[in-house]
Amino acid sequence: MAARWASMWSSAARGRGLGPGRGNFLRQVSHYLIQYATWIPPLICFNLYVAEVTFIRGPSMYPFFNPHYNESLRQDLCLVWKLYAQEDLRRGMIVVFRKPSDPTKTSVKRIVGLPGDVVRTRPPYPYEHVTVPEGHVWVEGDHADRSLDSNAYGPISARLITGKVTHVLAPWGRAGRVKWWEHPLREGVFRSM
Amino acid sequence: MSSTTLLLRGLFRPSRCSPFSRRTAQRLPHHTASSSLPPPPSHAFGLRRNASSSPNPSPSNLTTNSGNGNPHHGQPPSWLGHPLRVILTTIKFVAFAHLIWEYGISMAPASGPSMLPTFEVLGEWLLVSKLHRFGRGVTVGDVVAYNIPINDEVGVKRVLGLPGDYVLMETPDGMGGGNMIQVPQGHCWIVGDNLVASRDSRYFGPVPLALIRGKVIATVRPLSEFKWITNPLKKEDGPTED
Repeated sequence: MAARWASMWSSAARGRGLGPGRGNFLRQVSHYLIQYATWIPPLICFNLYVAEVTFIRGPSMYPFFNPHYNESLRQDLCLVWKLYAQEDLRRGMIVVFRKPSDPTKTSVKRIVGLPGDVVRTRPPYPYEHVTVPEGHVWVEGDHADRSLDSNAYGPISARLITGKVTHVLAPWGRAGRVKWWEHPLREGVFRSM
Repeated sequence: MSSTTLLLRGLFRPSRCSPFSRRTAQRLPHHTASSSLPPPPSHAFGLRRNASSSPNPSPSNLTTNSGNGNPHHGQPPSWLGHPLRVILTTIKFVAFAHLIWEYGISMAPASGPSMLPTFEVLGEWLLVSKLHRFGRGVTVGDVVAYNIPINDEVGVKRVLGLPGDYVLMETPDGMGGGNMIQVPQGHCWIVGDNLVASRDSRYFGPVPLALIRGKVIATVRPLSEFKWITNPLKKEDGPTED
């Protein structure tokens, strides 16, 4: 169908009295451009709902991501799996979510507490213990000193989660699956189940 | 992951092509050849494929569907292309329509007593402008559709507070104690019109703007009762500050 539209477009362009050689060139260029452009919506949908490749910025997940953040400008390239992102959340998983304080930005943190858990908080939080409410999770960065996480803005709704980091792609030495289940659980979490 | 791979395997399985006739399979190279390059200028639009499938396209092929040089004489022309091409075009079209639905405008049924003076309990269909997703351009008094933070459903409520505003934490009937909080950065305070039958920010706290799906702009069903939803807090007249 795209090819038909492209041919209609090119025939319209041909009718403008262009020379034969130039008309042929325009026809081909417009044909290929339109054919490539029709793949943009499926690509956007794929990035929205299936998977996306993103850079991890900042030191909040040091040393798991960006272990040389203070030595080089290199950032880790990761695969974020977005299918069923809000289902089957576990403690220790690394998730990508929209920042509660700014809807246009996303953040990468590790899930520390699930709904019902009692979490012993860290300094910026006003209370010493908090019970994670229904439908919410407690997220923290691995680098406690340099992380703006649930200790600053409280438990986040699981609906904010857009994906799970499943693979590291870019530094070839550490490329591979993210084995979040091998990471030790954070102390001070009293599990509800 | 498994469902995706299953879907792709189902799409690209070779046996998928078997229900289609041999005629389609034979015409594949001609068709791809004709689609990868634009047709010669003398060919008509609708008869392009028939003309290109004949070895020597002649002007007689343009006027009759099955010309003398056509090897598939007597068979009706297939207006659908190769099945793979049909599938890909369908995927492209569905993705495009979905993006319009998700980022432009959408329509959805709504039910429940929480917005009772404004919306009926049953049978309401709302027109939602997704251009206002993430609370873009939403002001106090607008009705928004939002992801309920504590479960998997979508709710419709009225925005009563934006970041920095001070709001009452409980129902303003004198029983809540009159505690006020300031709506935090990036959040909003959402309350239903029917205060006694609404589960809203008074229950689950301020809602992140990232959970707002769009602004309700009209009720559309039945069409005879089409009604724009306007912000009742807008200034009627008088000088505007900005």
